[in-house]
Amino acid sequence: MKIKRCSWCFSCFFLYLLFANTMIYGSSRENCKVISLNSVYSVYRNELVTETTILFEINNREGEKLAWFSIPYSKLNKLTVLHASIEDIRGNLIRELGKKEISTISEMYDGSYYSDYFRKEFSLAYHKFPYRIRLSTTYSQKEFVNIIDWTPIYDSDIPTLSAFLTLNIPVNYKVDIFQRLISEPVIDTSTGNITYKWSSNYDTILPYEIFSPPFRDLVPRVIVVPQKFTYGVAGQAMSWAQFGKYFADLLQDTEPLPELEKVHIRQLVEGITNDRERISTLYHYLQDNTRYLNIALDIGGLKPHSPAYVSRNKYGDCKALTLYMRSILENVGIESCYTLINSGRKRTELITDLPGQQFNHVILMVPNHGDTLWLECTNNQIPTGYVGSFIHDRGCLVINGTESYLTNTPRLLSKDVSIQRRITFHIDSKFSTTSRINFRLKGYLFEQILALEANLNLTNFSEILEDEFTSKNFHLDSFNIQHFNRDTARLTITVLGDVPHFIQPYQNGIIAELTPLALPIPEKISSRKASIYIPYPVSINDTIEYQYPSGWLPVVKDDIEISSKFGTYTLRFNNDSGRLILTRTYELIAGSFARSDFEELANYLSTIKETEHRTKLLFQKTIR
Amino acid sequence: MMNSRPVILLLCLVFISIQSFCQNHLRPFGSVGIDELTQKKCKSDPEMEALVLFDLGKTYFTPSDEGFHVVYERHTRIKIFTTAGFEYAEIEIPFYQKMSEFEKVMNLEGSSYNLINGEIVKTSLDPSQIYTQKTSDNWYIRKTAIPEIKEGSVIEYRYKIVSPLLFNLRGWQFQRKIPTFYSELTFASIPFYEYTYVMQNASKFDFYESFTEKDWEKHYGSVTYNDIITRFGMKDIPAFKDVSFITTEQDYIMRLDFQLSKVTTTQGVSIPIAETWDKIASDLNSHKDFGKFISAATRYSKDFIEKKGIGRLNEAEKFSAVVDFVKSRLKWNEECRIFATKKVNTLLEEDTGNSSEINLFLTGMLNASGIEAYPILVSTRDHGRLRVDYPFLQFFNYIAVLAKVNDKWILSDATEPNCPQQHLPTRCLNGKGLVIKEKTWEFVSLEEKEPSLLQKDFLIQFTPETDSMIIDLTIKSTIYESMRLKSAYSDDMQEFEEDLRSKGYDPFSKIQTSGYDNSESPYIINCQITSIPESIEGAIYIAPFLSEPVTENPFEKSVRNYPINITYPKCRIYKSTIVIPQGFHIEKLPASTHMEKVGVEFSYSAISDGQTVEINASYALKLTEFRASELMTLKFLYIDLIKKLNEKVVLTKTR
Repeated sequence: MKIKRCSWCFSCFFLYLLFANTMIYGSSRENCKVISLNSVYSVYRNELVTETTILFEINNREGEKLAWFSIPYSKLNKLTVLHASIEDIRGNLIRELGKKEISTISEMYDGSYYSDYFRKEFSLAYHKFPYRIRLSTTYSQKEFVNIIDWTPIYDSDIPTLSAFLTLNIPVNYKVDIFQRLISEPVIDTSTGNITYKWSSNYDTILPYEIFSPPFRDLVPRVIVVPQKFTYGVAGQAMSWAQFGKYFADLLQDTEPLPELEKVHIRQLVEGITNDRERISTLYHYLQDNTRYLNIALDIGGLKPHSPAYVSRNKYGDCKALTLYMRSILENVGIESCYTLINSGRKRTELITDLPGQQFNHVILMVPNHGDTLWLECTNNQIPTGYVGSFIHDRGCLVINGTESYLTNTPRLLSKDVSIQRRITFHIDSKFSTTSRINFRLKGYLFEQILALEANLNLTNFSEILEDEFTSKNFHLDSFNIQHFNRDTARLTITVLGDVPHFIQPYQNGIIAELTPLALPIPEKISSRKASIYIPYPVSINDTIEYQYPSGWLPVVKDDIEISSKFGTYTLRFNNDSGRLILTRTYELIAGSFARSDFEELANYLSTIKETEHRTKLLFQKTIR
Repeated sequence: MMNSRPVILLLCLVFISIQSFCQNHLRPFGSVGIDELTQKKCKSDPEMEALVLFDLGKTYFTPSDEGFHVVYERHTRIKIFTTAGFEYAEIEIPFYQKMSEFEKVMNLEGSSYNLINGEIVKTSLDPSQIYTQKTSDNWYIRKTAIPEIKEGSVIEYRYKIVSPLLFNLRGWQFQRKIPTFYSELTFASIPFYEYTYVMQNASKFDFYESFTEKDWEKHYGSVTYNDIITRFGMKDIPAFKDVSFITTEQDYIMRLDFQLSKVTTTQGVSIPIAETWDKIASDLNSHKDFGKFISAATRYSKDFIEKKGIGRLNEAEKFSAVVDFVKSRLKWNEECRIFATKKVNTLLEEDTGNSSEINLFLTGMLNASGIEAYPILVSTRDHGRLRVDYPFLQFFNYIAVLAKVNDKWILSDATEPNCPQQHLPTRCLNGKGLVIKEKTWEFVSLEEKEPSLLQKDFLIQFTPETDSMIIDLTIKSTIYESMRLKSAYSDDMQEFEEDLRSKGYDPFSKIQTSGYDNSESPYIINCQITSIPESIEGAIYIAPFLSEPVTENPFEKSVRNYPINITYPKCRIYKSTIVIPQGFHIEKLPASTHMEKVGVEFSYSAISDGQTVEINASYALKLTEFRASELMTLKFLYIDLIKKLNEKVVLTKTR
C-alpha cells in the first residue's frame, strides 16, 4: 500500500480526512466547458459498440488544461476510432489531429503494479480563444458485463451544457435499466430495434460541501445491464443469485493449491479444535506469507489468478488472495464464500434492484456457526475478522453458486472507533513545557497507524507522528507503540516531546492553549445543496492535564456542554493539587440525514469550534 | 634509486585486501549465506528497512553487425529487514527502443531466500511474471516482483542489457535510499571508443584498479586488442536522505557518469567526439534541429513582425511584443528537450511544441525583430546541475533564451504564460547555462537575483461590541510568488475562500483580484473577512497578522549534509493597522527589532499614536543557496522570527 504524506495538524485531522472524502469539489471559474456530450451505445450480434462525441470549448489558457487527452483501451475493449479536431466558435474546422501527434503508452493505474491496458495521449491547442475541440471515440467489445454506466459529466469541475445518451438494442435483447435524477427516455421502435434516448446536463457545478454523499449519488446517472452476457464465461443478471452464479462459474477450473502446501496448511492447524482459532491461525499464515500486488490482465480484473499462482508467487490482488484464502480454509474443512463489495471510505449506494457488476473489491465471508467473520485478505496487519472503515456497513454479494445472495457487512459503532487520549503538559517554573501524549486508538486511526508502521521506516514514521498526531509546534523526542494480541483491534501510542511557546504571558499571568479538535468547517447554511452523509461515528475522549508550577493557580471555568441530534460535546474542568485537568468528550453519530438537518449540524460544529477558540486556560500567580 | 619495495608491498596489500573483501562479502549468484539471512539490522543505520549487500555492474563491448554493442550486466543482492523494505523486491529496468536503436533486456532472473526452520529456502522468479510497459514514445520498463518476500528475506537478481547506444553509456549509481554495503562497477574498455568519466559526491574510490586483460586477446577486423579493465568500488555507502531544499537527488547522490570522447577506427584514425564547448557550440549551430531551426524561425516570423507592426516599436516594446506573441501563439507540451522534433511550419500549424521548439522559435523571432538573442542550453533542476568542466551534451535537457534589450542582457522563456518576461521558470533556476552564440559560447548564471515578494496588508477594525474583528486583507505577490498563487488558485476565488475558512476566518464580501492575466504586474487579491478576537478577562489579544505568518520552522533539523537551496530569493512583508476600539488603550505593544545573518534579514517595528497601531514586519532570504554549515544559524534565526511575527498586541479597557 502506498502512503500519501500530508502536512495536517493534530491527530483528529485524520478524522477530518475521513469526512473530507465526502466533500464535493466545485469551481466557479469557467475556463472551459463541455458544449455537448453525446454517447451512443449499440448492441448488435452480441457486440457492444460505444460511440462518444464530446465538444469542448476552451476559453483561455487555464482552460487548456482540459486539452490534454488520455484515452484508455485494451485488447478486450478495443479503440477502433479516435478522431479529434479543432474548430472555431462557429464550428468551422481549423485542423485535425495528426497521427504523429498521438503517443501510445502503457496504462499505469494508481495501485496497480501492472495492467495490459494502454492509452493514447495527445494534446491540442489553438492560439485564438475561445476555440473548440471535437473528440470522437469508438470502442468495440465482444465481451461485456455492463452496457452503460453513464453520467452527463466529463469532469466534476467542468460544466456540461447538454448531454445525450442513446441505447440501441435488438428487440429481443433483454436489459435492465436504472436511472436517477434524469427524465424518462424517449423510446423508439420504428427502426426494428429499440432505441432509448435520454437527455441531461450538468450546467451547475456541484459546490464543495462537507458531509455530503458520494458525488456519483448526487448526479444524473443511467445504468444498463444485459440480462444475459458473456465475459470470460456466460452469465445472467436477472437476479443476484444468477449474477453470483456467474462469478462462481468464473472461479471454477482455477489451478488449485499444490499438494505440498495443502499438507503444510493441515499441519498448521493440527490439534486446534476451535474453528475460530483455526481460521485465525490460517489468516495469520496468509498475512505473514503473502503480499498485495495488483496485476490486471485479460478480463480487466474479474477473473482471479489461481490459488496455485498465489502459492508460487506469494502475492496477488484482492481477488487472488481471497480465492487463495478460500482454498486454504476449504482444505481444512472450513466453508467460506468469495464476497464482492464496494470498498472505500465513502460508501456508494448499492442499487439492489439492479443485479450486476457494481463492485470494486473482494473479501471472504466465513459463516463460522453464526458468528460470521469477514476476512480482508489484502491487509497484512489487521486482526482476524476486522471490519474496517473501507468495508463496513454496506451491501455485498456473497458468492455461493446458485444461492448467492446480498447481505450487509456490520456497521462500526462508537465503541469500535473510540479514541482515548491522555495528554499531559508539564510546565516548569521557567514555563518550558514538555508533553506526553498517550493515544488509545481504534477504528480508522488504528488502521492508518498499522499501515504507516508497515510501510515506513522508523525515521519517516516518526516524522508523520510528529506532523499529524501531535499539537502545533510539538517536537517529538521519542515514541512507543504498544500492540496487544495480534487479533485485538486497538493499539496504544505514547509520544514524548517538548512544546516551545506553549505558554504565553498575559497581563495577570500566563495562558496555555486548549489544543482544539480538528473539525471540518461547514459552509454557509443557506448555500448548502446536498443532504448529509456521515460515514462513521466519531467518539473522542480526552483527558488533558496541565501540571503547572507551584505559586500559580488556574482560573477554573464552568463546564461546557453542547448537544445536538448529531452528538454531544462536553468540556469539564477540575483543579487538583497542582494539576488542571480537562475532560473533553466529542461524539458525532453516523448516518444519512436530510438537507434540512444541515443547519443543526453546522451550528453544532461551529459552536464547538468557537467555544474552543474562546477557551483560554489562565494561570495566575497566587498572592501570599 | 628509490626503494620500490614499500610501494610494491602497498600495492600487494591493496590487491590482497580487495581480493579478501570480495571473497568474504561477494558471493556468487545463488549462493546465500546463513549470516546474510540471520542479520537483523543494518549496523550503520539500524532504523533502515533494507540494506544492499552488494551491487555489482559490468560494462563491456561485444562485436556486432553494426560495429560494437555495449553490454551492461548487473547482479544485486538486498537484505530486507521490515515490511517497509518490500518495495525493493519490485524490480524495474528502463530501456530504450526507437527504430534501429534497440536496447534489449535479457536473462532477467531472481530469487528470494528465506530461513525456515533453519533451512535456506529459495523461491525463484517465474519468467512468465516478467512484464514490459511502455512509459513514453521511446522508453520502456521491464518489471517484475520477486516472490515469497518476508521480513528477513534476502533477494537477489541479475540481468543483462545489450545496447547499440555507444555515445551515452549508462552511468553507475553507487548510492540509494537505503544503505549499501558494497557497490562496484567493472568497466572493460576497448581501444576503439574512449570515454571520460566523472565521479560525483565522492573524493575517491574505496577500491580502484586498472589493468590490461592480457590473457584474453581479441580481434576486430584486422586489429588485435585487449580490453582495459577498470574497477570502481565503494563500500559502506550511507542511505541518501536529506531530500528537502535540494534541486534534485541526482546532484548529490554518489554516482559515476561516462561520456564518449574519442573514436578510433580500425585504420588507426582518431575522431574526437564533442570534447570541448567549442565543438558542442559549433555542432549545435549547424544542426538542423537547432541552429537551422532558429534560422527558419527567423524567416517565418518576419511575416508576423510585419503584420503586428512590431518593427516600429522601440527595443523594449519589441521584446515584450515578441515574447507575448510567442507565449500566446504556442503552447508548451511539457516536454523538456534541447532539439526540435518538428519543422517550424509544423510547429506553427500545431500551436504546440517542446521547450526547444518554443524557445528556439522565440530566439529566431527576436532576431528577426532586430533584437540580439541567443539560445541557452539549460539543465533543469530535476535533471541535475551542469558541471562546467565537463563538456557533455547529455547534461542539458532544456532551452531558454538570452536577449539584449537596451544594452542589458535578459533571460527569458516563452513556455509559461504566467512567468514574467524577464525571468525564467523555476525549473530553469539551476546553476549555469551555456549560451550558444554564432561563433562563440559562454556560461551565464541562471540564478535569480531579484527576490519574489509576498506582501500581506491588514486593516483591523472592531465592531462596537468588540466581539468581532473586520479585516481588510490585501495580498500582493510578484514574480515566482505570483506564479505560485496563480497556479494554486487559477483565479478561482472559491478555492481561496475555502482556504480562508480553513484558517478560521469568515469571508463576507466578494473576493477581488487583479493582475492575473498580466505576467508583468503584481497579482493582487483583496478580501474582507471577520474573525473572533481573543478576549481574556476584558483584555483583547490581537495577532496583528492573524494566522498568516509562518509557524513551523522549515530548518528544524539539527544536521544537514547538503547545501540548502530555496530555488529563488524571497521577501515577505506584513503590514498591519489596528484601529483601537473606543474605550480601549494599548496595554502591550511588541518591541521593534532587527537582525541580519547569513543572507537573511528580518525587521519588525510597532508604533502607535493612541488611535491606531501600525506594525510592519519583513524578512528576506536574499540568497538562493545556503551552506549546510549555516543550518543552525538559520534554525535559530527562524525561531526568533516566528516568535516575533506571532507576538500579540494587548488592548485593555480604559478606566
